[in-house]
Amino acid sequence: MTTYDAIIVGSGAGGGTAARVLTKRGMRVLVFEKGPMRRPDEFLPYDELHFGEHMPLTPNKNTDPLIYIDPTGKRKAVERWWIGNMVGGATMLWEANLPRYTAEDFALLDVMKEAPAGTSVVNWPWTYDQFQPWFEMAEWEWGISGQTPPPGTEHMQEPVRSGYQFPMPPLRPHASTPFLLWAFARAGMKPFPSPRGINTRTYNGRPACPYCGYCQSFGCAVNDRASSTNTVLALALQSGLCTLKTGHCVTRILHSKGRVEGVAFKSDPAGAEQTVKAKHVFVSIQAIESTRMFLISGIPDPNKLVGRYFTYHTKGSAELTFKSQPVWDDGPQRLFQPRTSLGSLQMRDLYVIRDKKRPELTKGGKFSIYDPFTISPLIKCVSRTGGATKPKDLWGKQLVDRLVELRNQGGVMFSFTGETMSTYDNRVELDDQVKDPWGLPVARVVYKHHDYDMQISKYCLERVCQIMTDSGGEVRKLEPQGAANEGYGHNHGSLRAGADPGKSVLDTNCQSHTVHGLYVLDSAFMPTAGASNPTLTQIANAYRVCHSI
Amino acid sequence: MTLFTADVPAWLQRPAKGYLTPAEIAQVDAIFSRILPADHARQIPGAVEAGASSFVSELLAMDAAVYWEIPNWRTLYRAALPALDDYARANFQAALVALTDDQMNSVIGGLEAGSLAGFSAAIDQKLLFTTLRRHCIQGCFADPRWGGNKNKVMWRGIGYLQPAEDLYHDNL
Repeated sequence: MTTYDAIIVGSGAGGGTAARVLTKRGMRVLVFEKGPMRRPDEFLPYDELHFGEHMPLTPNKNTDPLIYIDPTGKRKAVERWWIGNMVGGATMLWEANLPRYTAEDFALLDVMKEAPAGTSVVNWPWTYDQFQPWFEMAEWEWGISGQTPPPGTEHMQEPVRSGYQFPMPPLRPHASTPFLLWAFARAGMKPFPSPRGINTRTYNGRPACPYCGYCQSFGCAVNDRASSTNTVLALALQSGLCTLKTGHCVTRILHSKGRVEGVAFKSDPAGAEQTVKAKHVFVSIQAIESTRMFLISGIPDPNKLVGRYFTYHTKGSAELTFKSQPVWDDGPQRLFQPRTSLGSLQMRDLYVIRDKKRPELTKGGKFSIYDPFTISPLIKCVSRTGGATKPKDLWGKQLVDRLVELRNQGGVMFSFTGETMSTYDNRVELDDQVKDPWGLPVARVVYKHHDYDMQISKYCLERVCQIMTDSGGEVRKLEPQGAANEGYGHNHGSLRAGADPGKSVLDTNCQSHTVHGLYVLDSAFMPTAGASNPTLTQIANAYRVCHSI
Repeated sequence: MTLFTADVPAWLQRPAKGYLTPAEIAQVDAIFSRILPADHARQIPGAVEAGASSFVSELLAMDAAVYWEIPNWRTLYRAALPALDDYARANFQAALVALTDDQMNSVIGGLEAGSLAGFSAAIDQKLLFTTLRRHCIQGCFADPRWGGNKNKVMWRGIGYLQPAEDLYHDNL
């Protein structure tokens, strides 16, 4: 019988990276993936109704939901659109927007000075500088295209080591970019092209992006968009030391006397539970799910911290239209790419808020800046847009008016990713009523955004809307974060890492304080939420942890 | 000879026959004509010429394996269309398909607000509005392979994946 040095639960961002690093170091690993292997051609034909609206690649809320308890105590089954049930997990469906967390995320308490009432604000037990080599490793193995900050602008985007370059230049800019750069420059702000796990030229045997216009929530049939499957997991499988079991669901982590022993699993929802042993078990199935696994497995929790301090990101969005700007097109010699959201700008000038009128606001967040018309295919664009006199759900004349604007006028959409306060009451627990197809209790999330989250979302959106209206924009939609959050792809913090076993679930190497050999490599480890897309930092952490096992 | 037929997934196979009767399609057209009305002066095609009602009819004829809500929608349309017709006859003394634009707007606005008095209590008005609006937009803007957006008329009118076309004025 084959024996394994390590078992990895989940084949996505964390699991694939673990498989890569551990096999590189000569360890024999077994990777469990609940879903099937999907080939790129299974994502064709690109079709918004099927992949975007009917969502066949994510769990169905009738059979495999998340239960959400809203701030009024009401219970609701929620669709988990952020889970990809296949080899590679959600990295098969993401937009691969991969910025680094920075010093402001690693040391939130330094930025805020004091925690707002009712929150738990801590500094991470690592520094940005300590993570820097792991960020670089992640960027080169996953294949990032982007532009490092030009001299003098290091404070306006994620700083890098002097002379460092991403492996590929940034994506072709969106046609709105020159106008937006001009408008923000008038306010002293400097958006920049986002670092993306999307090839801009042939890299690691995968082609460059053809700008097809179908990205987030679609599988990439071209294979230019990085996933665990086509980067790190592919390398692990090539080593001959990695066994991948698809359609296998881990049902429990086996442990005894403070040591991990292996996992129990099923190869069929109706089948019998089997077991496999190993001295190391790495769980990386997104924060909510890894917390559920801890609770189902009875991982000792003497301080009642498992599932606590759970965070979603603070969101918010705004849409504007410009009478003075013709609709964005691809320009002379197809200089721009008008048909996809990929050439989006990022804007970090409100990452830290220093406004004398609002001294209580300190840590803010980041914007992704898109064109509302082309951020996603048309059904989504038209369904969610707002009008001049109606904020959403347009129909009739108001819908026609908006369609004319979308066709004729340039527009912009802002998507805010903000810092989020950690509170003890925001938590992941096991539901006592609903079971998933494998017979396991589903996760239940109790979540309410802190007033601080809602304040920064509103403040930052109003700031960018003001800058845009100063340049001729008219607001068509303005949706700051409310208290409720039904669920989001950025989920973290529910298995906090830290040096003090009395205040954290994982140690500083993301190993359980109570079960030796059990590691967590998804974003559950994050002591605070941070204010950017979390996955690159999660991947960098997996490189860091797996190099020191 | 056709290659690979055995591998064509269910969602790519067009149903042989739609689910709705011609009378029901006319009712859906009457509603959709106000959710996304044509405005040829401004070069915006409407839901009726896009064939959004054929989209609904074909979608409802598909299997639950294509999308789990399809059976619920069959029930909803079969209950809601007669209920809306009853409402039209009781309040406007006319069939649903014979309502004026203003009358139909007031019906749709009433569903949106959940405020149609005397409407069938068995039907959630707001859910019905959301479903009708969603299907109308999908039938207009989805790929033509689903039976709506005929000849890509909406994509051509709006300028999606291609520059917007002049659909209704003679090229001078």
